Amino acid sequence: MFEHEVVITSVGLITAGARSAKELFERIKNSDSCVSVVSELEELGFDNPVAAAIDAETWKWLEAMDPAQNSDWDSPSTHLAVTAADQAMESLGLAGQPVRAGVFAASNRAPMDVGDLAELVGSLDAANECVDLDRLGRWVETKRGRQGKNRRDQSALVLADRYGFHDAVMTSEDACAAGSIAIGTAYRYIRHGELDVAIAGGTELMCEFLPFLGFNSLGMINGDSDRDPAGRCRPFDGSRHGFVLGEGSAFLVLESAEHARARGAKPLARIAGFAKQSEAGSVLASTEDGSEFARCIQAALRDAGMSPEDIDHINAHGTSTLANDAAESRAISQVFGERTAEIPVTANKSALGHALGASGAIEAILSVMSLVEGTLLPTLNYEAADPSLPSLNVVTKARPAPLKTVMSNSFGMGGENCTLILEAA
Amino acid sequence: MRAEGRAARLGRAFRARPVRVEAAGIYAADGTALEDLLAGRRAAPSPLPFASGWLPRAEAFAAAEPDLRSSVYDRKALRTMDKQARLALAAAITCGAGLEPFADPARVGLFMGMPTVEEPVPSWEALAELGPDPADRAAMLQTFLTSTPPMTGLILLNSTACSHVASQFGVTGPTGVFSPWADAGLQALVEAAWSIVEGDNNRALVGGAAPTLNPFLYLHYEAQGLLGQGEALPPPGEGAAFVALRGGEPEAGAAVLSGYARLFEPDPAQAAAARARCIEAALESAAVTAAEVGWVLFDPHCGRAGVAAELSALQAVFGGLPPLGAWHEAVGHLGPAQPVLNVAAAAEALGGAGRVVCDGAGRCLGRETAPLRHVLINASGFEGQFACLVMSRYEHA
Repeated sequence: MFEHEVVITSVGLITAGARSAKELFERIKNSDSCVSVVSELEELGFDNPVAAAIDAETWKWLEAMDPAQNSDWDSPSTHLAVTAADQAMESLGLAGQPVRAGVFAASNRAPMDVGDLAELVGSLDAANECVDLDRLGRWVETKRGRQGKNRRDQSALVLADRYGFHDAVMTSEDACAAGSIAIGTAYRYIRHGELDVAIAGGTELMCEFLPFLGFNSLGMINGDSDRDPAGRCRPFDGSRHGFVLGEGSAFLVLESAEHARARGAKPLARIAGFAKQSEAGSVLASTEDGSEFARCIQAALRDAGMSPEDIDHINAHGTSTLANDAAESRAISQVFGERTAEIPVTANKSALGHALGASGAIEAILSVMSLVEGTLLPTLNYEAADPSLPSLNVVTKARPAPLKTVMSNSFGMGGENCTLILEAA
Repeated sequence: MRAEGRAARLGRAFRARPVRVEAAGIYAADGTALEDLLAGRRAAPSPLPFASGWLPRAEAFAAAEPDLRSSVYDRKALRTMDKQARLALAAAITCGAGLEPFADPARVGLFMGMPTVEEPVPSWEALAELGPDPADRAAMLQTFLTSTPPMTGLILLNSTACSHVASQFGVTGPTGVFSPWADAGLQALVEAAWSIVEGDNNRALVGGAAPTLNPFLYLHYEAQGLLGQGEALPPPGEGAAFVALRGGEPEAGAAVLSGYARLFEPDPAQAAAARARCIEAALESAAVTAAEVGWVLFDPHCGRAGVAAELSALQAVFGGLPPLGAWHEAVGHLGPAQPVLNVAAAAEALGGAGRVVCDGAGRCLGRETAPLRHVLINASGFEGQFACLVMSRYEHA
């Protein structure tokens, strides 16, 4: 089967604390955390109201830009996705060109916010112990697009319509690996010649009441009130316990190298390998010995035609949970052997929190920028190794490094795993 | 619409490396089995428990809770599933009962089309406890905290449904979950087939589930305009369907995938023409003429305008309406499970079970036993998504 080289030619993102990829890269490079107390969650009474949430000022900025052209789709998540994707698209001016093009957008959840819940109460018919659908219907009439907010595929459809990318339109909802899987799937389509161009990435807005309730009920969110908010997400650190939620949207423009050359576009990086797999284990925790993560990493290496010696840097999934970081450390050790203590590892979630379906795309962009800038980003809050785990070379301060390849891991809840291998252009 | 490139490639790939349907399983209202559908039997719809004057057709095909306690790989896992996930697992177990064991689980993929998971929190009971004035947000939090099941965070993720099926069968190959409408089920099927063609998998499980019947589902329909004046919403059903795909040389008479095309055309004025081009691309992909297609399983669930566009497209391509099939009057429309059910039915029909023909409104016209060589399966989304799959009876070259 004929295969095309796939390159990344532009990127765009919005996260807590950053309105562009460059801004986010610089912020993490300076060890500046995006995690803080979220006043709305605090007011609701949560005793761990800490997250990397997009702040009110950024929402005002987004609203002022008003990029959504179709009001039916104008929900916060699509607004965010359109703005991030526009950054990627505008820089190269792809719109309007006749190409075979697709959209691959990840999103797991866009739940109702607390205001929706409060209004829903008005739809209850207490006397008859049922929901009054007529009242609910009238509520919907006043909230056009509100149910669209709950649709995972909304961003993909809006972007496909906006850019005229109609040849493949997909929504990945593969938990924490969804963003990476969206990129990897687009890579496959272009590699095999089915598309010339794709925009791929993910959007997630989870720093809200219901996700906080849900993840707290699972005991997964860090509740260490003795630490400053910025110090709570501590991937691979011996005192880690629990993740911090994040949110954002990130998109990358992928195209065949021939197509990029024909347009005179300069690639930022190329995608060398991709693997996605299922663990078929527990839905609550990854395989403890790391063997399933290792299997995924090895599959991506095979896809890239590379050996572990070819990898210069690992952008880890690194959630800061006890089990996930332990399994990832063991997986790195199994794959990289003696190089485990040498190969630099960073975990962006230490600064950004865990943006779930968007995290893989955000981290892929940061990995691309590390390749372009020749800079290793720090893992914030890493102070002491976990003595029970293989010793990793966790980067704690930004430093220059000549990088040719970066491996980006995304290991999702329920055992949906993905590894991308990115190479300098 | 430029889907022809992929369609042509897929058709060539399917001819070079055939992918066949090796087993199927469904779970639907009244315990309806695949053979019931092909015999023309139908389940009985029931009134919606939350019906009101707001709904023009207040009945649906609700499915009973499957009893998975003795068959699920881990009973505790049931706490991390909502109803649609449990129905999907039940259909997968039925499908798996007819399968040879997986010799190489790392090369068995799992692909699913799943609807949006509607909010299991807050429960309606929790909302009711709040009363008419939810101004006290601390009390609201406390109510929700005490009424939220511990595994809610996992229930909210569709990937959890996929994980349960993977764990049930121990399959660890590439997976994918697509959402939310019927076209997502066909997308899952084609991605699975493509993973076999590419050599990532040698077998794959493909499934879908219908959305659980609750008030939020009807809010989606309302948002799509399906409850408006002049609309005719087909009755929704609860249920799920799974098929197992396999690569390698099939036996003569096996049902194989032979062509595929899809598009996204958001302009309603272009819907009929775009659908016609998509159907033509799928037939071309399969190297099949319209005259050779003996049955078209169409999608009656994309709004009056969407159905009109599809029927118009079929008339344009076939020179009149071909023999149609649909199951929404038998078990309700099953959302992303619908095209998977159609693939299962088409496989049986191509194997000699005959076809059940309906009119453009989905009313059953009767069962026919004419031999079939090719079946076309269409699936739509509400915003312009449309996909077509051609299945064929395999004959040795």
